[in-house]
Amino acid sequence: MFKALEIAASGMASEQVAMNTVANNMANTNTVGFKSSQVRFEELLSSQESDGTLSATGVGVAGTQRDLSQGALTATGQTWDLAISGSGYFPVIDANGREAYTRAGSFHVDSEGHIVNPNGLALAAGITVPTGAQNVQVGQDGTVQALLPGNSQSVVLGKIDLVGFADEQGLTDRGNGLFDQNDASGPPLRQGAASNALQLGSIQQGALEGSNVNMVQEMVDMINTQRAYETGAKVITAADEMLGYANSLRR
Amino acid sequence: MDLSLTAVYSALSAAQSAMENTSQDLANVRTPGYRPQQPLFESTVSSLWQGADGSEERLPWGVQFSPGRPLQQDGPLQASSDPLHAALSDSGDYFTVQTPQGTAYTRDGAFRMDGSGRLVDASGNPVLGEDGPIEGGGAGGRIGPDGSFSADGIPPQKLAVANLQGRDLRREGAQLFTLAPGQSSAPAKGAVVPGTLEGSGADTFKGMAELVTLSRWAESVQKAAKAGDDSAEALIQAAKLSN
Repeated sequence: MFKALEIAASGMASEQVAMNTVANNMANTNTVGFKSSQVRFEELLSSQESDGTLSATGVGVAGTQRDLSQGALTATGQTWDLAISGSGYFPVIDANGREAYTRAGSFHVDSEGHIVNPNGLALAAGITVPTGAQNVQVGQDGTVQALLPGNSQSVVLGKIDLVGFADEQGLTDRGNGLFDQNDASGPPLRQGAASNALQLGSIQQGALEGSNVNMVQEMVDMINTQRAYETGAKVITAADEMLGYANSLRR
Repeated sequence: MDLSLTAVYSALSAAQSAMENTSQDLANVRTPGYRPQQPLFESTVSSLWQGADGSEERLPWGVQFSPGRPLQQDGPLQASSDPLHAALSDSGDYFTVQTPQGTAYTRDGAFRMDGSGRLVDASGNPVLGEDGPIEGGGAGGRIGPDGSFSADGIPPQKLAVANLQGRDLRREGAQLFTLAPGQSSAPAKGAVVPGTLEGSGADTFKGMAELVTLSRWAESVQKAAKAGDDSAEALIQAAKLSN
């Protein structure tokens, strides 16, 4: 059995996945808190041949790897725009009551006084901001203070605790800038958690973390992907010719 | 038995196997730490052939292809911002990982921490240090220029690096290799280069040149077959005329 066609096709299929990833990165160059991804390729071998060796079956996509580097912080001056400088995630509560994790810190206060993200998911800290609260200060450690009507001094409303993970790469991306924990990522860890020398970042009020997509890098990746795809197409042509020679043995 | 057709068959099938090999290298031109296959052509000989005078000899009747050992062809080094990524400076050095089937070797240094604080390779196999699997890391783990993994609060653990130059390596998939039975590794010759990843050792230019060569080879074999067929036909015609 002549496998060159299938091997080349596996390469082209993998490059297609890579192109989708590049396109997704490019589309999210302005998405708050977005982390770019890259496809990881993996050499594939078949199950064992009769002589015990493994035969080549092409290439596959082993998964995508997020670039976890910091995005640039942009000052917005908005009270509830919070950026994380360093590692860590904001825990929010989703519609099913479960915790999800995000770095996109464009929050606002809803009609009930909850601090919510653009999709209406509230911060897990459970802070309620009373109506009429003024001069809201979010400290680098996440402490939220405000001046309430009738008071002359700021009162502490609560504290936004960031969480980290043993394996951030393991988090499941569920879209909208939200991530889920799972067995691979490990449970969420709070600063100072026992046995883990976790170094979480600090919160910057009035700023947003930009996307960390590097447009030049994406363009280079796009060209590489397209050329590798083309290589696969050339192999298919060559393999087709080879089969043609075999067929023309019988005139 | 006409040996020319058997030779033609063997050559076409060797060309096809070689093209599968090239195709595999080209499909993996972006696979980190991939090592291309060294193509190996060997001429084959017939079983004993008896001459008219009763002498016996073995005649060459074709060629066969077998994928040889993985080429020690380094991929280009690319900078990586991940503190757990590393490459190796010596072509014969390999990282050591633990798979369910036993110890395996890889050039792919895209390591990460798993949920339980172990250093694992891209497929999730634990990376071996000089004193067993590397464990106990939390956040803040990194690989240093001395080739050791360190994290806050635990002592540094040196990564186990083995030199496999000249050994018979078996391909296991996912850029992993195992040693042939009875062989052992040597101590590392080079250094661990943190903050870099090794690209694929496969080369598009070389692969494309191989494709052209193999395609032309198959074409000339087909021409040889045609020539052999033509002369056989001429022989038959001559026999008809003489009758």
